[in-house]
Amino acid sequence: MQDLPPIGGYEPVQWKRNLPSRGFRPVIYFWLISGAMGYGFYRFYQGVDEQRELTREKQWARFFLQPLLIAEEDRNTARRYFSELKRQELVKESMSDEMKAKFEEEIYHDKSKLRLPRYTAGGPASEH
Amino acid sequence: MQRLITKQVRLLSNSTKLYKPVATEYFTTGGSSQSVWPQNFRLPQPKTWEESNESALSKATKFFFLNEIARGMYICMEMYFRPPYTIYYPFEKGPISPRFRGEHALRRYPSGEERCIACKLCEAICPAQAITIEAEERLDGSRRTFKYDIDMTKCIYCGYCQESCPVDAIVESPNVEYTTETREELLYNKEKLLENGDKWEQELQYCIDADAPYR
Amino acid sequence: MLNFVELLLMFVSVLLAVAFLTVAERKTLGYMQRRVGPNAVGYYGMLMAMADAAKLLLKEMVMPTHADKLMLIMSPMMSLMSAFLCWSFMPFAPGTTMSDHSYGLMFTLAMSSVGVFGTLLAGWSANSKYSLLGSMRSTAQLISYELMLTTMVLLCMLLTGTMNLSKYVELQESMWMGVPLFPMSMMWFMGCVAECARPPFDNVEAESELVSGHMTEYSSSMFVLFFLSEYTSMLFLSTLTSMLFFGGGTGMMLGMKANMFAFTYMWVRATLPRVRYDKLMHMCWVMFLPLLFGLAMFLPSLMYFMDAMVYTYPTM
Repeated sequence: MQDLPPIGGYEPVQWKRNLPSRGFRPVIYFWLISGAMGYGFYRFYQGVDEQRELTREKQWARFFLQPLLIAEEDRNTARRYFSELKRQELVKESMSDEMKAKFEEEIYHDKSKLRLPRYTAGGPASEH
Repeated sequence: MQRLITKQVRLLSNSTKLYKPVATEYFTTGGSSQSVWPQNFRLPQPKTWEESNESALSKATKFFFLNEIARGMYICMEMYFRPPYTIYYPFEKGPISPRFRGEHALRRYPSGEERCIACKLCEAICPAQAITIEAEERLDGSRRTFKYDIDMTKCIYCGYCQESCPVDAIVESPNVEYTTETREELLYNKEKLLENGDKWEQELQYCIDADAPYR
Repeated sequence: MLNFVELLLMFVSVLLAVAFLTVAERKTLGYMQRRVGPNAVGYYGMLMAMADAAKLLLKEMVMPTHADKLMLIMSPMMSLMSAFLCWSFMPFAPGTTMSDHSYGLMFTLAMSSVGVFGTLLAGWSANSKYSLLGSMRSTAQLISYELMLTTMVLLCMLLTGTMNLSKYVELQESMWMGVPLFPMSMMWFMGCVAECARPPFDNVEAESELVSGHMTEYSSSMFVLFFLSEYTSMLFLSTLTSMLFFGGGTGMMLGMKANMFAFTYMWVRATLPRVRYDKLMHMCWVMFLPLLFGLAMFLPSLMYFMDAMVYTYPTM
């Protein structure tokens, strides 16, 4: 009793390579991809245009806003300057005479510019 | 009249092959009918760079856009969605032949008498010298072992003992799931565990029945 | 205080993502090879990463006597640190960047370059010939492909005019940059695969299998750090790819696109055999870089021709 092949034999085996050529001709792929890239550049260019407009709008908004911001900053500076002067008056009242003379001496001799005080005494003037 | 030498067009790329004989037109096997190769055995010669009518643009496109690699990747993608071949081992097991050699067992006759007659053929043939036998006359005068050890850690599961046994006493069952937690348990002692061939007797009988015509 | 919570949250998320990426890779590779990957540990093998981490951390740390211990311990940490730091510039949604730096993209590249030091010092500190050779080769590979990546990022910056990574999402609403720059996105992806030292460009790991390579003297925790840093940079580069070229959107969308690229990393690993080292170098210096320099001459002229140069100040 032997181990024989089945009656009628086995089915034929595929021994040859089967690599069918698939896909379109490469030139077609080339033009497809070039077309896609061209279209992409076109849409990208539109996007860049829009970005530029948006940036321009933002810049101009900042231009228009600047006077307001500068005015607010100026108001702040003026308020602080006057309150510092007031504070100095209050301090001067409590000084002796010779200190007062020294205090009133100008630091800067050049009167062409308005020099804001570099250090302030701090604290609200209304406390004293 | 068969053409034994083919005259091809003279191009730069195949000028060294002009006067070579063509192998497909005569029988290289000498023509005996048993060994003739089938008709289109060899693939046609690939076209040389002069003969192929592919444009440079085609070649450049295939080069830059990774033609063959993309095709290979597509094949992997196909395989990703096909069912895997794995079987879930403890719950599903693969098929085993009746000649499979696993854990050893000592068999008995149907009357209950142990088969082993201490001939020591298995001990002699064992390539790893894993079997140790000592024998003595039993009280009722028959020739039996009193020590039959198989060192399962030395055994190479070659099946020579099974082949050499004249009475089919030592056999290899198809069992492989007999793991232990200590090494000592694997040195199968005298005949105790081997007589757990009693446990496997039915399976062993089936295997022997299936294999007997070939032994 | 909340800053730290945010940082911690992001790092923990990235760590978890990386952990599950390792399992995902094994399962993906398995299915592509018509077998299942790990499937016994959790449901469908999800907890495999935790099991791996536990195993590696409990192993014995083997310290060779002749090795320079400080550098040995420091180099995987450097790799991991640089891989994680890159993540801080990634905008997951408008306003959710860890640091919305104006020069974020350049910083990202700089951090990946620092990561090369990890590889370099690893081989050097192990004080064995083979480790040194392996690390020299892998360092050479990494720095060559750094060049490539940097050039491509430069070209992207040309097109968008900004290095702020969150701007890229806005700019790609009209059209993904991967469509006009399709060949470049393919080259970028190949450069990323080489930069992470993944197959088919993994001479680094292959040398670990074959002779030694720079990771030989590493066991347990230090190996975990190298392992994690590789997968972190892989995930990071996928996210960067999807952000730069494929219109990285917000949150989930970015995640899904990054996942597609991470899947492609594994897909490419399953498909292709390893590339020989000299062919790797040849590919970078002789094939990619001249192409990129050609593009670097072509694209600005194209942009000038189409009047699509983006004039913005860097602080915007």
